[in-house]
Amino acid sequence: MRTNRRRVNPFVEIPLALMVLIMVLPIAWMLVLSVQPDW
Amino acid sequence: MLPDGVLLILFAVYPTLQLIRMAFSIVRFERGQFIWSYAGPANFVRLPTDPIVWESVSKSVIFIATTVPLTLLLGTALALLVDRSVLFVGVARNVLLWPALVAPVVVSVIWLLVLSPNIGVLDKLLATLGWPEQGWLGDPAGAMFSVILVDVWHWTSIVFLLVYTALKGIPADLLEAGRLDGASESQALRYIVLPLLGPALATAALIRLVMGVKVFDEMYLLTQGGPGTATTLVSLYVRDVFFDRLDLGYGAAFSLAIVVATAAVAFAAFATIRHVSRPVQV
Repeated sequence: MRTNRRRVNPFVEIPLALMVLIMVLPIAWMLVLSVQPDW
Repeated sequence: MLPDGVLLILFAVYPTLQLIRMAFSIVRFERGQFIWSYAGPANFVRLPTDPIVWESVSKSVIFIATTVPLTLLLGTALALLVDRSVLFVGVARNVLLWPALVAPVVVSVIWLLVLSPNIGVLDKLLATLGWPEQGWLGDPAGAMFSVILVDVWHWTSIVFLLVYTALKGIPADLLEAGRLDGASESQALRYIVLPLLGPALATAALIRLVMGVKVFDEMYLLTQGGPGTATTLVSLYVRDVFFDRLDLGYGAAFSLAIVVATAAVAFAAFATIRHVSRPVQV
């Protein structure tokens, strides 16, 4: 659906970055714990 | 045709007929054998008198009424954001699919590490902000909130995938034509994009509805339906009746009632959505 708009829009990029962070943080936390020596 | 028919009869028709037969029977397990005796509609008559049936149905209704709209909303928002993003489009398209690729058992472990009162990171983070410890999984309201949160996190990806694919299928010249006619960004979204996403959203809603009824693994592993019956959704209660109480006839009757109710709701919802979101005439 993309047309010829290619400008960076902070109202798109910031919420998307936050959402991606929320989706990835729980998995990242498990990965962090999994490399701890006492886990 | 014939192999298809045989497979259908073997794996769909026969088990369903057995389930229907079981629902009208009392099945006992004696000396290594199942003993069936016809019970008429007795199992179905028992259903409305069982308070846990009503409780599990109401919990499931709350769960579905919350998770389905939330995943649809977030999935659609994510698809629209990714479609308009310049900086994160590659990362987001990749990362947003991860939760759907993780096995439910692993999802439960991941969220136990976040929500657990002992080792959970969320309480630790909130403590640094001065918040008291929250009963994520130990308190009835907190447990329901937690299972909803986990389900939304897990399955928003599926909605995102469906909507994003549909979004990519919208021809750019339609939007260009809209813009030439003076449509603003929000008008293009409201009058061109969303109507064209209607079928994908309807499909996503139907899939999510059925998933909401069938949901089991994460809830069973995170809360076992507790505390008390706070998160005993219908699938958890069916498991309880079948495998803990070995009340097979009653379990079959409850399962059958759930299937019929879900089919009726799905049919009504699908008919409504199709009526509301007719594709635009181009």
